[in-house]
Amino acid sequence: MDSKGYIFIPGLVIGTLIIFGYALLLFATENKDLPTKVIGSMQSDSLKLISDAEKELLDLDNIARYAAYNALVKLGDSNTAWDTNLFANIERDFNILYEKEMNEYLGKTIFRNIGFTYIYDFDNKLIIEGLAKEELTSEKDFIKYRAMPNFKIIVDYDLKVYDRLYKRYSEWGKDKKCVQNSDVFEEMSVICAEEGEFLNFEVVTKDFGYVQPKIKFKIRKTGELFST
Amino acid sequence: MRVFLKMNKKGFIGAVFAAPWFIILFFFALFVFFIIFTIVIPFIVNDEIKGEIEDSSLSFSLINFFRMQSSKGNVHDLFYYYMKNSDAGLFDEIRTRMREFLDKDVCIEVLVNEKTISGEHFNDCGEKQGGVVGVAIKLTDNYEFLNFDKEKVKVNFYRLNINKFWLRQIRDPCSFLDKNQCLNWVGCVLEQGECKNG
Repeated sequence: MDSKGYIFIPGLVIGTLIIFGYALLLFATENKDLPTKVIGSMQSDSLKLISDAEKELLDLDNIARYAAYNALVKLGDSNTAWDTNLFANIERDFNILYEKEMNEYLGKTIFRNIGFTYIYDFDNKLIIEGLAKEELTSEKDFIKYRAMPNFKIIVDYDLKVYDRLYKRYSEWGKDKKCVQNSDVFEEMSVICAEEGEFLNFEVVTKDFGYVQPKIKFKIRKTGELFST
Repeated sequence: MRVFLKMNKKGFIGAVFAAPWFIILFFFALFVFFIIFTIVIPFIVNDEIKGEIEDSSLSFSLINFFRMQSSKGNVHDLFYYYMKNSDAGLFDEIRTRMREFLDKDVCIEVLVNEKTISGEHFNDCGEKQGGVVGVAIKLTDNYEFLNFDKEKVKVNFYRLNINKFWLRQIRDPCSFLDKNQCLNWVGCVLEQGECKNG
């Protein structure tokens, strides 16, 4: 072998080392996608998508509950609610307030563009179901996860308290006397109104959790956040 | 080209015999790179995947952690009340729930509208100092939600970066924490001004 042959073999070796070394450098520094393409990455991505979606759904469940609390407080705090005409439509008023509250909350989340249909059940407890009109989708590469962001909340609050309050109002209206032993009185810290001013209820300042402290009557007890 | 022609005349094997050390070096290098590409890199990558799966397990745990019932409703509500009044009793309850449910090498940081909350708790896991012990912590997961006041709350979960083999040996991370950090890591307790594993 002549001198050119001596150049070829070392050149081959050194060249190979350089190529492998460069490849290693690329893997170690630039090719960030490499780890996502190994065995286990799809499973990992799938789990991540599911857990991310579950977090959003958990947030939605809480929002639905907060909106109900807010709507109840505003309903109780609203002077217009004490109009006799509105007593008859208290459920309708609650629905309006609830959906307004929900829209305010949802506007700050990823659910802002997903419409909901609400189903209310006012029998003894307040039960609200929200049926989503669209799916919640999340995807990474070719993995797609879909979920219907429906929710159902149960709040231990009976809207029929307004019916009972109306009954008391009617009784008061007849003889202009406070009915201290009324069953309504047991549920609400409504004090005797000043004559001619039924709306002048006692302002109860009590910590009801989320409920704003200034409310016009005592919210029925036993709810987890309304408990006294 | 002339080199190849020359080699064809003498033969490739002849060239090998003429430069044996380079050939030995060549095969040795091939062997080394074979080891790197087939064993070391997959090992590191598998370790990362294992770390990701482990992080996912924390994600599911923390979802259930937030669902847990508490004296104020659920854990969201505990955080909400704590952020309102920094009540020590509420912190104790949150910490008790955390210790019941989360791994001990977890630290929680709470941001409201991108700002850390006031008080001693949930505002410092040590990441601003470059980690508890150098690079020993990582942001594992976070959970964002709206609170009752329609504020955006972000809860960051840090944990010791035990997936790196050189950090597996850290047995007592609490001793590296300052007082404020000590109050935030689940597995650490402050006793007489000293941070200890608890």
